[in-house]
Amino acid sequence: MLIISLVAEKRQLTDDQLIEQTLSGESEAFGHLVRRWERQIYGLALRVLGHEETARDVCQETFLSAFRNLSKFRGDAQFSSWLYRITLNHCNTHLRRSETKTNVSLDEQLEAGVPEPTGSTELVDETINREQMAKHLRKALSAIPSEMRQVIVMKEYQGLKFHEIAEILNLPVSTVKTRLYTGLSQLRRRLEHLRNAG
Amino acid sequence: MMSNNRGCDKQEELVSYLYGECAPEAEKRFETHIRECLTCARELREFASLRDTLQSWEVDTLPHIVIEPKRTFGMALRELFAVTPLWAKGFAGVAALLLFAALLNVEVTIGSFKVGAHLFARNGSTSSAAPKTNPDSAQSALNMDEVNKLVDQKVAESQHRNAEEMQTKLTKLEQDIRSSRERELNMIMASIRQDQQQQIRKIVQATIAENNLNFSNLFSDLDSDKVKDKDQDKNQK
Repeated sequence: MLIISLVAEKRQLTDDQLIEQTLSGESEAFGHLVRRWERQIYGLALRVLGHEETARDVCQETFLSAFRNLSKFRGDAQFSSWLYRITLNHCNTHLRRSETKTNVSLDEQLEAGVPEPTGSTELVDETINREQMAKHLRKALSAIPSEMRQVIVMKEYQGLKFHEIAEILNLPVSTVKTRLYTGLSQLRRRLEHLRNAG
Repeated sequence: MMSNNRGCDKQEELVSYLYGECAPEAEKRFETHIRECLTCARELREFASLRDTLQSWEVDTLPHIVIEPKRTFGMALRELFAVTPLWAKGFAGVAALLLFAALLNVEVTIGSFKVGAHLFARNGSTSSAAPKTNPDSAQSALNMDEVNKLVDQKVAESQHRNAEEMQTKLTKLEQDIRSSRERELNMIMASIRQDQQQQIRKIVQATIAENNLNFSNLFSDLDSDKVKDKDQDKNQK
């Protein structure tokens, strides 16, 4: 009962309070920060990299880096923005290291990752269409330049404002909007191409 | 402004409107614009559809990150301090103060009450905490000046002894070197003399052979000289 109330108490704490507790020696407070943000960080890494295992590695590296450098976090930006920046840095490192490998792995994943449909005929058709669409989307997204992909992912999946993305990427807001517009245009063309080819 | 090959430069406004991040006035302006601009209106529709497609990629799995930071001594100490009750903190504080005072040999006097803690013996003074010393033994104990003098004296004696030993060794070494050099010089001299005699003998024999002369006494003289040289070498050795 006591443990449950302690966990509930931690959940109510803000990021800054949990950071303060971590810095004062309560390392389990950082565990709550991890639980709070791991889904977002993993989602960002997976959609930018397109590879589950590498995304998991990046997620792990991100939280480790964050823990090691927590004392350097000044608090003038949001903790989530800081985490996203660390994640993108690790993503860029992985992309530079093995860009071709990522694409090959994505293709392999796309071939192997479609589950067998079950249920009624309508539901099966819908599942196939949805899976086919998701497959095309992942392929098209992985084919556009990473700087545009990062902006699309942060805007579309992380739900960040333009000024937040600009702060994370250290870019002017107008550049973020340009990248988003160009990225969406390229993505639309690639999706059309894939649909016509498939 | 963006570079444009689509006949309209409202791309930034378009993405702001698409994601609902326009200010109210800018929103109205753009809505007026798309009634006239077919390119922007078409792109807006296509991008809205694309956003629906983008939402089809869901992430169901979780990475289950486990961060097990290495606990440093400082972290462990802080955690211990956090869970320690107040009375224990006070006790630990007093103990730490006493230890510190003992390291510094501090003695506190309040009126007639004296308290002190010592890890090391104090020189020239007694404390209430330490047992009282016997006056006779205190008098017989050497004070620091006497100890210093004694140490200086011992050091000076030792230095003098070392200097003497060094001088003796140097003298002996000098003698050894000198005698060794003399021996070597004598050997060299004898060798040179022998070479010279052999050369003279050869020259004399050649001269006799050329002129058919008889100088038998000359060889006996030379032989006698050789014997003398050998005797001299033996004596020197």
